[in-house]
Amino acid sequence: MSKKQPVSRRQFLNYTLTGVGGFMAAGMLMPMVRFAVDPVLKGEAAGDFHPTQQKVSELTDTPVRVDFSYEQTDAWYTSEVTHTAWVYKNNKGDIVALSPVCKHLGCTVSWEGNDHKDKFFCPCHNGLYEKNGKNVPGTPPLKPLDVYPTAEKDGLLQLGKPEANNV
Amino acid sequence: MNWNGKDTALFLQQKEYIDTAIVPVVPADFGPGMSGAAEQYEFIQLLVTFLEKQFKGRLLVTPPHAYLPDLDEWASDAAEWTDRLKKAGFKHVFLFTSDSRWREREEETGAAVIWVPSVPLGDMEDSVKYSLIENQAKQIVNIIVQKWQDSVS
Ligand code: FES
Repeated sequence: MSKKQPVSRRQFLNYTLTGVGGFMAAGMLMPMVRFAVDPVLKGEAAGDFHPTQQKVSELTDTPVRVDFSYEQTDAWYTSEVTHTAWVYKNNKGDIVALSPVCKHLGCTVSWEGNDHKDKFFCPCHNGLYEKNGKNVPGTPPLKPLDVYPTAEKDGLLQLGKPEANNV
Repeated sequence: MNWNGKDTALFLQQKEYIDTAIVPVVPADFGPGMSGAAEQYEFIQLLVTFLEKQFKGRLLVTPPHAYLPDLDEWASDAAEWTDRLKKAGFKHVFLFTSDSRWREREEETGAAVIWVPSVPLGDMEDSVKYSLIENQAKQIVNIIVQKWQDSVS
């Protein structure tokens, strides 16, 4: 009845195996290619500090919002990204810079948002954090806010890449 | 959440927390209105990107809903979008547009239409562009938070 060429068992196996083989070859090659081009991709090495406009001398014990931008290469295109930090001086006089990205599902938290005194507040599911970034138990976040490594250059604050916070 | 594989997978796991959908609604005009339409798209996309950053954990930005603005039935399937999003579990659906005609059609869409007149961003410097978008977005942030609070009480 059927005049169509049925795919024989052998052909079928052949096709699938070539397909799978292709994937496997790609799987082996990809890391090699990556290693080869990695130095090129690594525009922003970890540990790099980005300048901000915030004068270190003007920081107090009240967290302020510091925005900073830099160029980021994402796949093959470069764009300017803006990041934010909440920055203050703790009672030892050390600078603390916290990432505003909520550790629950990633909304942006704000200092004393929605009238929560002395807390960072996340508007999405009412997450709360202490001033040092520690998550308040009983609210959705399970981890403290990340911290930025900080540096100072010519009196201005510089921020690195956010890290896990061990408070 | 953004419309990509990683974020949507997370959405499927965390559905109970992500109850809001944002649909960029943009005209696809290939005639003389092309530049205006493209400007609207550019503006709406930037605005929506900003909001996504603020509220990543509670909202999903859908692919843009593009329509042919000169068709008689240009607005006809918006209601269907809302319907499907609601069925997918989104309690709040916002349609973001710069086309003022949507304001009169809000009711039939079944969603909340947020109309924001677009600003030609042209060759504006990036930093100026961002602060402009941020200012616009701040008011919208309030609208969204208000909607969330209303649905709690
Ligand atoms: S994303 Fe912050 S509490 Fe859920």
